[in-house]
Amino acid sequence: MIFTLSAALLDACVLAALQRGDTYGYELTLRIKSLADVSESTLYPVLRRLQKENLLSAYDEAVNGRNRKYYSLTEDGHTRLASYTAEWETFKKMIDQAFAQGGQV
Amino acid sequence: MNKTEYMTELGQRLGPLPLSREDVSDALRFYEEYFAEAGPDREQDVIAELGSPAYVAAQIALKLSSSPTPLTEEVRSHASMLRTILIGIAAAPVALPLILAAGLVFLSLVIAAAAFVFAFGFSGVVCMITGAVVAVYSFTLLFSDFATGIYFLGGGLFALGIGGLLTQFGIWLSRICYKGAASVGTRFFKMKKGK
Repeated sequence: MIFTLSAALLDACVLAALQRGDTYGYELTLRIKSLADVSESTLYPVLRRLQKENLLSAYDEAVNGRNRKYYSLTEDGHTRLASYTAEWETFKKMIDQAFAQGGQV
Repeated sequence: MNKTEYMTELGQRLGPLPLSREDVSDALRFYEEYFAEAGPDREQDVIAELGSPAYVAAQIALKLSSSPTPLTEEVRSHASMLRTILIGIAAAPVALPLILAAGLVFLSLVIAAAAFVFAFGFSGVVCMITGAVVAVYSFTLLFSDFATGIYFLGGGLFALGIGGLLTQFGIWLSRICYKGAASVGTRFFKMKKGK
């Protein structure tokens, strides 16, 4: 990968992955890995931090006789994802323009 | 290394970090569940994917408190502290003699000021004593030789007055010097403490 994911973009990807639906750590890691080339050990700190910032919430569900921790987007999380999406549109337009026209004076 | 050894080492490495117990147990639980979901046959694959326990712990230490801005306050302050130390070491050959020289200049100023104060004070007191003695003595002279007596009385009182002024000046000078030295001293030590 030539262009790397900034920390903000990684946050956005995690939030976007959860928008599809609540999920647990292992499955979420698989989802993110399908989207972006991130190292597996990068994910947990991001997850924990987003939870502390109240963009995610977590709850337990009993599965196959053990407890699974599920993550879910909070309302703030949805809002943050929306603003990231808008930011991305602006950024994407800028780069597209740079490649197409090389900018304007 | 098997899963149990991995998790034990991870727990040990997370311990000394500035994390709450809740943070540590949350992290350990995440990775326990991760191993469990992957399944026992994928144990070694997971260890390979995650990296060493040291690496995982480092990721948690670095990334847990930082939001998507370049450096956290903590890391920044550690970096600036390190920079200050390195600059201090590099500058030592120049800085140490300079500091020594500044200290000596300050000390010599203090000694000079003290000398001035002492000079004024001492001469003032001597003058006053001499003046007083002469004035008292001249009283007795007044009755035998009025002209000489009054002459010395005047002179004595004059010396007493001048002496008094000199002493006052010496006291005032000493107060100024004391205040000046105190303010320089506190500012110097405040500079050292407050960073």
